[in-house]
Amino acid sequence: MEQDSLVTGAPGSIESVYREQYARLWRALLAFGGDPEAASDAATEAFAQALGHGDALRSPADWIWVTAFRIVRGELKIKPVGRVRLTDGTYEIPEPVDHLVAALRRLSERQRLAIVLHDYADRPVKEVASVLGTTTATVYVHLSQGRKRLRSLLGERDG
Amino acid sequence: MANVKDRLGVLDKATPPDVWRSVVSRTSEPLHLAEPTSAKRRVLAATLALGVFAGASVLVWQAFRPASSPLMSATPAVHSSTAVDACDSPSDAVKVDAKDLQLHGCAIWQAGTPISLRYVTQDQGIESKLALVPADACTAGGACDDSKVVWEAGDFVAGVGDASYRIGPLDPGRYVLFDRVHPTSARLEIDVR
Repeated sequence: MEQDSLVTGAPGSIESVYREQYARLWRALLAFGGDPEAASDAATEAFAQALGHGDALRSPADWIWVTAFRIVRGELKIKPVGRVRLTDGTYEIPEPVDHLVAALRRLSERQRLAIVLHDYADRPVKEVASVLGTTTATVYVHLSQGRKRLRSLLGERDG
Repeated sequence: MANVKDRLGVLDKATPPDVWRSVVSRTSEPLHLAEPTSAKRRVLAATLALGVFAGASVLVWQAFRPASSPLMSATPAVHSSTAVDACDSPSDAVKVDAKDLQLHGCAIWQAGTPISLRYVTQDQGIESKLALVPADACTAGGACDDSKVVWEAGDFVAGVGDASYRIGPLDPGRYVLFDRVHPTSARLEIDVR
């Protein structure tokens, strides 16, 4: 990734990653989990852990993305299934985002994660496979099926 | 209809909260990913209670020890008109500036005498809070051991703004002056001699 090579190993690299990528990471976590609070918490935890590692991380940005998604997956497993919390009051989530997240929630967890990480956040398929604990070939299957289903869901909504 | 990538672009309309301050404060806390069991929870609570007790004891001790303590004086408004921006010999009236989330200024301080520090931040809308720690308590990447902080500003300063502090006498050695909110970028190595 271009941004990663810029920040790796440089002093202040975690803060640089935060400034450059936090907003996109948070939105991706929101799209995946449908919970702004869980998105904030997972992102905060991932950046805090990265900061705690100091210079030990070879590629902080990659590490933070993978860690944040692992954390949010763990958090969502202990929360009620299918609960979307976009009307918290603390967060302002515009209506189009609300609709998109609702459509994403109707995909399987693996399809949703693959689409959000790869198609929205431009993370490499290999990294998606790492988060899912599967092969790149399987990720491509999730992507293909998920896109088809999402197009259908958004088409229904548009129609 | 637009393709999936285009439709996902709607997400950019959502505004994330700024959590950097939480990131920094969480760095010094114990990290955990799983819910602790009740046994672990008890150990955690006991450790936390001991930590709070130890911290309170240190604070009480610091509050009542003689004035030679390097901890910050309670009178922040000690403005020194002779504060120097850059210096090549030890000074007891120094000025440090924050610009673009980086610290610049006089980095050679006099040992064994109170230091008047004038801090000016030019970063519009950015909050900062200075702290001083021995250099060996920090990693090269920026994380510093919280327990080794010898002085800390009493409050946050929002840019554009300035504050003046009086720091108690310091022992000779190398220290790191850093901003609590942006510890990895806003830092200045100080040589106390």
